[in-house]
Amino acid sequence: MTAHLTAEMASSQTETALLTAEAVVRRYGSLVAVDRVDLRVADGERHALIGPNGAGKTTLLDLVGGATRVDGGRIRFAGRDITRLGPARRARIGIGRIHQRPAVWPSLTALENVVVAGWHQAGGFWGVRSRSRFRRRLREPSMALLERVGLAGTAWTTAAHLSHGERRQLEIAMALAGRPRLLLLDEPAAGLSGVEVHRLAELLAELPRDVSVLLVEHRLDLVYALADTVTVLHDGRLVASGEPAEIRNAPAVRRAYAEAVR
Amino acid sequence: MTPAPRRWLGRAVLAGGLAAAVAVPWSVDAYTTSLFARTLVLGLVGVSVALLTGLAGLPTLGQTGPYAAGAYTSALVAMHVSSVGVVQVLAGALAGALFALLTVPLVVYARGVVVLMITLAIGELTVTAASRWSSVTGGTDGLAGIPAIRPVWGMDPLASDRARYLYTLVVVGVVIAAMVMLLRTPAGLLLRASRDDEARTRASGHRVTGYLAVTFVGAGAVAGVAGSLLITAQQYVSPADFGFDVSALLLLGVVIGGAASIGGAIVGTALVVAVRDWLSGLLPGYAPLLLGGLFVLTAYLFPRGVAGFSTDLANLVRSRSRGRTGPGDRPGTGIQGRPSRGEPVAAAHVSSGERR
Repeated sequence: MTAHLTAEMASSQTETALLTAEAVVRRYGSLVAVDRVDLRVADGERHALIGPNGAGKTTLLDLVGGATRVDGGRIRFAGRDITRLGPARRARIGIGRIHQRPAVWPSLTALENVVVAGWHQAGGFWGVRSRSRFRRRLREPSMALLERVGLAGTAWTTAAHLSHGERRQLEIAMALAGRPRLLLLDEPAAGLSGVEVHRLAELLAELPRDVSVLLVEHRLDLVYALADTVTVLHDGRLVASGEPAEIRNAPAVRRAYAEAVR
Repeated sequence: MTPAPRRWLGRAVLAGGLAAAVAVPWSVDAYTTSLFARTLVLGLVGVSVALLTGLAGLPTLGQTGPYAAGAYTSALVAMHVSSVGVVQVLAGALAGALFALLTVPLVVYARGVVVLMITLAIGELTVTAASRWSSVTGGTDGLAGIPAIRPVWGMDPLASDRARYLYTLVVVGVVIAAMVMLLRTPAGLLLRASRDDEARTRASGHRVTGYLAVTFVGAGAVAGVAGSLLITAQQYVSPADFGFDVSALLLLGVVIGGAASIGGAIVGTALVVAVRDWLSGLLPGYAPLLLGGLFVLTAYLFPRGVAGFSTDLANLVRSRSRGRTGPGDRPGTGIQGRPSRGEPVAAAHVSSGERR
C-alpha cells in the first residue's frame, strides 16, 4: 500500500518537477567527473547530494548553476531547456548558489554585497531608477535579510574583514536576495563552528517551501535532518536515490560510502 | 559611513587643489600655463585609463585611440563647421565613444595582459592610420591653423593661454565631476563587484560583459573630450601626440597614482608629465631614466600608488579600524588583471580599490 502510494506521488511529482537533469555528462580530460546522471528536484523539495570526495557532487552543482557546461545530456528548469544558458541567465530565472568557499565581494560592505546580489530581483537599473525606489526596493529588503541571517550589526563592514562564518551567513543573505526558486548549496556547513552549524540548520529549516533546495553536504546529521530525498553519487555515477531512511540502510550505498555512513 | 577625518581630509585636499589650479595662470608665465593646460588634457586621458584599469579591471594601452579620434574630429569641426567649444567637445566625445564602440568587441572578452596587447595594437594602428590618411589628418605634418575657440555661442574667441587654460580646466572639471557622480550611483557598485570577483557577479545574474562594454565606451567618450581639449590647448595636432610613448606614460601615471582612483590618476599623470617635461629640462637626455627611477621609487614606497598612500594615511588618522589587512590592502602595482575564464576565482580577489 505505502509502496503504491509513493509510486503515485512520484508520478504526480514528475509533472511539477522544478529541475530535471537527463543523463548529464561532464569530462575533464580523460576523467569523467559526472557520468550520465539523472536528477529530479520537485517543487519545494529538499534534495541532498552525498558521496565520497571526488564523487562529482560539486561538478553536478556547477552544471546546474551554469558555472560549467555539460558535455552531454540536458537540463530543464521550470519547464524550459536551460542546457545552453550561461550562469547569469540561470541566476535571473531563479537558480541561486552558495559556494563551498563563501564567495562574497571583498571590497564591498556586507550591505552592498546583498544589494548587488538582489539587483535583478529589484528590477535592475529601471527598477531602482530613483533614490527612494532604490531605498524601498533594494536597500531596506537587503537590510532585513542581513537581520534575518544575524548580520545586522556588521552591515557597514567591508566583507574582507568578516570572519568565515559571517561570510557564510552573508552569502546566504545574498542568495536569498535573488529570490531563487532553486537554491544550490555547496557544503554550507564546511568550516563552521558547532554553534554556527546549528544556526545554519535553523536558517535552512526556516526557508519557505516555495524555495527548492539542492544540497551537497558531508555533515550527514544535517542531511538527514533536512532532506526529503537523498541521492548518492560515487565516481561520477548515481548509486542510489530515495528517502533518507531507505538510503541510510541501502547496501549499495554502504559499499560506496562506507567510511561516512554510520 | 565614511569616517569623518578622512572625509574632511579629502575635502581639504580637493579645495586646495582646485584653488591652486585656478591660480596657476596668474602665477606662472604664458608658456608654463599652456604646459599646464596640456598636462590637464593628458590628466583627463589618464582618468579614462584609470577608469578602465582600476575600476573595470581592463588595463589599457589603447586610450590614445579614442583620444586621437576625438582630437582629429574636433580639429576638423573647428576648421570647417563651428568654432563653438560646446560643439567641439560634444563632437570629440561622440567620436571617442564611436571609436570605442567599434573596438569594444576586441577588448571586453579578454582579460589581463591580453587586454594590454590588444589595446596596444589598437593604439598603434590608430597612429598608423593617422599618419597615412593624409587627406583627412594631414599625415605626419598634422593639422595646423585651427581657428581660436569660442566656448559658447556669442562669446569672443579665446586669444590668451590663460583663457584657454581656464576653459580646459572647466571642461575637465565638469567631466570628472560627472564621472564621480555616476560612479557613486549603484552603477559604480556593480562595476566594483565585477572587478572584485567576475564569476561571482555573473552568478548573481549580472551581465558583466555588458557593464564592461558600457564602461569602455564611456571611457572612450572621456578620452574623446580630452582630444577635443588638446586641439584647444595646443591648436595643432599630429600623430606624434598619440604615439606609444604617450600610452605608456599614461599607464605609468595611472599606476603611480593608484589605479582605482580618479584623483590619483590626475596626480600620477601630472607627476609623469612633470618629470618628462620639466625635470628632464634640468638634466637633458635623461627623461626615460628619470621616469624609470620614479616608477621604481613609487613601486617600493607606495605599492598601491599615491592614492593608496593617502588612504593609508587616512587610516592612520582614523585609529579605530577593524583589522588592517584584507584583500583590499594587498600590495601590488595597482594593475589588476582579471583572471581569464577558468582560472580559480581566488585570483580575482587581488584588488587595490579605494574602500569606503
